[in-house]
Amino acid sequence: MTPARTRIGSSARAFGRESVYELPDGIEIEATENYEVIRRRVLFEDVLLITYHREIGFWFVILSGLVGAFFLFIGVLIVSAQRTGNAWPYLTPWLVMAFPFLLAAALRAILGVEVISIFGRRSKAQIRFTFRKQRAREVYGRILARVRQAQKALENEIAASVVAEMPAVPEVPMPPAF
Amino acid sequence: MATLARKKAPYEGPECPRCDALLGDDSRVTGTVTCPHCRATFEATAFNPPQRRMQIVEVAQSGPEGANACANHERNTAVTSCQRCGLYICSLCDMNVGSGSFCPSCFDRVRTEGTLGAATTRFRDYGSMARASAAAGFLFMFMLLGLPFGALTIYYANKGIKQAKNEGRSTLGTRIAMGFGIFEAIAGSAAIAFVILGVMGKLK
Repeated sequence: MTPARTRIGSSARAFGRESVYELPDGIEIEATENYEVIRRRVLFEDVLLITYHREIGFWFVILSGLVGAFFLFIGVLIVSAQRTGNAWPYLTPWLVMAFPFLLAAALRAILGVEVISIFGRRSKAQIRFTFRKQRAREVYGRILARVRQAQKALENEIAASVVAEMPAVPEVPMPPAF
Repeated sequence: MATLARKKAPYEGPECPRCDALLGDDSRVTGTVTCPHCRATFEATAFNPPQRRMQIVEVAQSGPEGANACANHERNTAVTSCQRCGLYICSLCDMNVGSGSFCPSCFDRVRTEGTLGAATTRFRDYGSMARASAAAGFLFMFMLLGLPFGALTIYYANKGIKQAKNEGRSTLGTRIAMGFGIFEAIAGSAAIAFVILGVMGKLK
């Protein structure tokens, strides 16, 4: 049984999707690969760098735009071949198919995607937010705070163990008074 | 033989979030960072996590019995042995990441091979398998394959629901797949019965 976790976002790439969860002591990443779930963690104690940036995703915009344009092109081709009558019944299905791709490309080009990357000693996590920019900032701030808190606690724990290990100063008898 | 698929390099440390190039120490700072490789900028917050201290016992301190020396540091007492090569190793050499202890050279090797099981956990996702099986059953129902695919979907969905409950994940997708599986099994059985009755000439 896994400890209580909260889903904080996901990161979708061309060939896979990762879900990112927040645990009491770190970040858990669940990636699905050929019906296998690969789970890894970045512990707050181990975090070295957290970054935040906005990117457009050049290939996403180009590919979505191309697919949309392809459907639109076929529609226009069919309409141009149909020289008489109303063109809309022929064009509409192709417009319907092209619309989601063109919309996705336009939205991505306008809005971009906010990316939070968390780099630990042994693994990394990435969370992407396409629409909820405010939430991206909120998650970024929360992770920073939790990392600071965890590393401060570890520092205190280490300091406490150093004090405990220090040998007690032996009591040296005072020299006799002359 | 050259591998067809390019293997992704194992993670080595903080990278540029835009181009994935390894960042040097001078780029691991707090503020706006410009990647030396792609020249793109990003906002960064650097941390210097404290290291846990290790307690090293020297052979001379541990007495004559039960004090094996570390293979790499002859003055240090071995605390364990490498689970891959069997070398005695001290706490300095012990690369324990949860799944067992490795000496530094074996750790490097298993990490490069990608067989180090501690940082990652792999398990079968029965929910995905149930969904795929349900979709395949739906597609091939016309070939009288609804029953076997339906039965397979029910089996996978059953395991998937248990797994999702254990993991605390949503079971909705798997439950929908289960519904499809039941439908495919019933429709598939009916289709087979229909064909058999037709062959026997009992259908009017």
